[in-house]
Amino acid sequence: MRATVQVMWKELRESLREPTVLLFSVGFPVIFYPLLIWAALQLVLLEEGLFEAAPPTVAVQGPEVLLEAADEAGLQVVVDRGREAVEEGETDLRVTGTEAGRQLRVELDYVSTRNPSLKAHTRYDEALEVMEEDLTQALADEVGVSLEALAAPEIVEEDTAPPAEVTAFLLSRIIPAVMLVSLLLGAAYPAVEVVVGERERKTIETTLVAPVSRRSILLGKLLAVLAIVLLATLGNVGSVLLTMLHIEASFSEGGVAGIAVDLVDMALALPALATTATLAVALMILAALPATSFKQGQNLVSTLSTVGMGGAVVGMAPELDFGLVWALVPFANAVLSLRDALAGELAAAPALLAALVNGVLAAGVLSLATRVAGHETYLFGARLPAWLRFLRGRDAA
Amino acid sequence: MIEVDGLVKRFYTPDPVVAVDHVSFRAAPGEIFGLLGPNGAGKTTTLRMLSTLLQPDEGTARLGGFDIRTQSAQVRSAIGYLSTTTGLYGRLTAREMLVYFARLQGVAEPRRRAEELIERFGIGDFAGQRCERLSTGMGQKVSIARAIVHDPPILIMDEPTTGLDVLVSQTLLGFIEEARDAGRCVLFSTHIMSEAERLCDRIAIIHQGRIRASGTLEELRALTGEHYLEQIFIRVVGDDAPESEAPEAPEAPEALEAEADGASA
Repeated sequence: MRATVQVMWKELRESLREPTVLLFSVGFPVIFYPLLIWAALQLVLLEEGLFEAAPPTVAVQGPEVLLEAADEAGLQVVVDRGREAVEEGETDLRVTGTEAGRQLRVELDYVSTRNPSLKAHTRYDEALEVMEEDLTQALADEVGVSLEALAAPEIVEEDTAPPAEVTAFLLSRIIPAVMLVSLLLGAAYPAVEVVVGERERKTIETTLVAPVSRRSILLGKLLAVLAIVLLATLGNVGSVLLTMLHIEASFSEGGVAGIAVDLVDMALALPALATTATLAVALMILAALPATSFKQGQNLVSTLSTVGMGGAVVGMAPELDFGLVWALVPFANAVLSLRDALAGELAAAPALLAALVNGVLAAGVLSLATRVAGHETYLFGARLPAWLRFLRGRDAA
Repeated sequence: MIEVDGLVKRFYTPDPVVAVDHVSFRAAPGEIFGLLGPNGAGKTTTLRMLSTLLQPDEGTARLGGFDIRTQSAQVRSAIGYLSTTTGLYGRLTAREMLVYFARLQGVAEPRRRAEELIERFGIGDFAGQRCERLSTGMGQKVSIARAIVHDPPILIMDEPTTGLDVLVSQTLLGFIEEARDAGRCVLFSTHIMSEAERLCDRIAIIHQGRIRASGTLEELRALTGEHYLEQIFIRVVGDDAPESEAPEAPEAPEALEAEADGASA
């Protein structure tokens, strides 16, 4: 038992002196994760506030109770201009309630490829679920029979989006997340390799005695990683695309409906995507710089990848509007840009703002990385700034 | 060719340690100047400062007429640097390696220069192989070719024979002599006495960051009264004694003391 305690103390002492352990076991759970949850909550509240400020529109025909459901869903009720208004985007949702014998039939017309319409549909659907009893009661009152004598209301959902747009829309919910995950995973290993690998193999010294600036060397490394990442991402997205089309062809009776992609929207999304890739690579190189070993570098960079993948989760959220607020959030803004571009509803202002934000951040991170790499401590471990000394550990101080 | 004046370098671990303490010396073209000292004496730090990899805290140096503080790019163009490791990129071939460094050095025709060096060092048979597959000897040849790819007038070599077998070491030492004969200035650090004895036109004995004595082998013999460099070294450095005690050996002649304590070489 005594030996066990001795070993335990030794392991504790050694483990808690390892910066990576401190980072993962103490720093993240105590500081980072709560901060992340807080930030996510703020964004949700903000999103809810934006929804309330400009709610999607709904046109209602039928019993009063259907209007109450619209209120419950927080939608803005407008005059009904028919189904065409939904198809053309003038109205986000059209609700028609008809009495068919002893059952209420509620028809919901919406366009699944348009975010406000999808959001209105989801919210209204939820409200109907909550108010199902009220609906039946309303019908019972109108018909003048007891509640038990009536069937539960029939909800008919009619998606009026063309099939090619639906395919593009479905892709828009998957491809952006695949893109971000490929980017972050694809960049991690090469970023550590070009920075820590080179230092571990002691080849960097020979390069640094060439008459070129350290900025040029770091930029060269960044571009190499960027090229690898773009290749990996394009390959991955391409193969996922083919797989999805194959699946669609296998399950659809009419074969593949094709993909209706707006090339202008795609072009508009490109700057945000390119700057996101640059930002991701720059961040990973910066994260790898203080590592004392390849393994430590991988740990630091994989943490960054995990955090970045939060953006992929955001992109999968169906109700999220890509506005100026989300344009300020790196990684998420790239996913949302690509999502809306594939869905053919990318607005120019957030797309350009996202590119600007990512570009400025990438330049800042690259500049910081250049300063760190340009410092002799990067190579030989003298006069290390306190925060880097902590990350690299005492041996490299 | 090489003028070093009062170089000082401190490291913080976190307490400050003076790794190089007011080191000064001169080396001329066509001369092999040896920095002789035990591990941790400050040789590598001195050479790294001269190669502009590290910034001195005090003092300066001029290599080929260029100041290491203000003209670092020109200094790097003027030197060929060989460290304790070969510094070869394992996944590049020997030829790719030479072309890459020729380009970094701004050589006008990098491919032609690489082929010249491949022929000169007799590495044609394995120039297409990845460096990670080369034997130590072959790797060392590629490394030397890499160091002189831009035909620099100054060579800085940090314990270049460390880890090499006798045959490869001989090849390397032969190359250093050739470089001297070709008029290059060679600054060479080692802790191997026989190498210093064989090669160096002048030797500076460095210990605990300070140059304790310097001169030609004959001058050092005269200064210490010892014949072999190993004995000279021990006499100058003492029994690894603390810095304040080392130069105070009763046998140390006045001339030696005049050059000790980091004085000019």
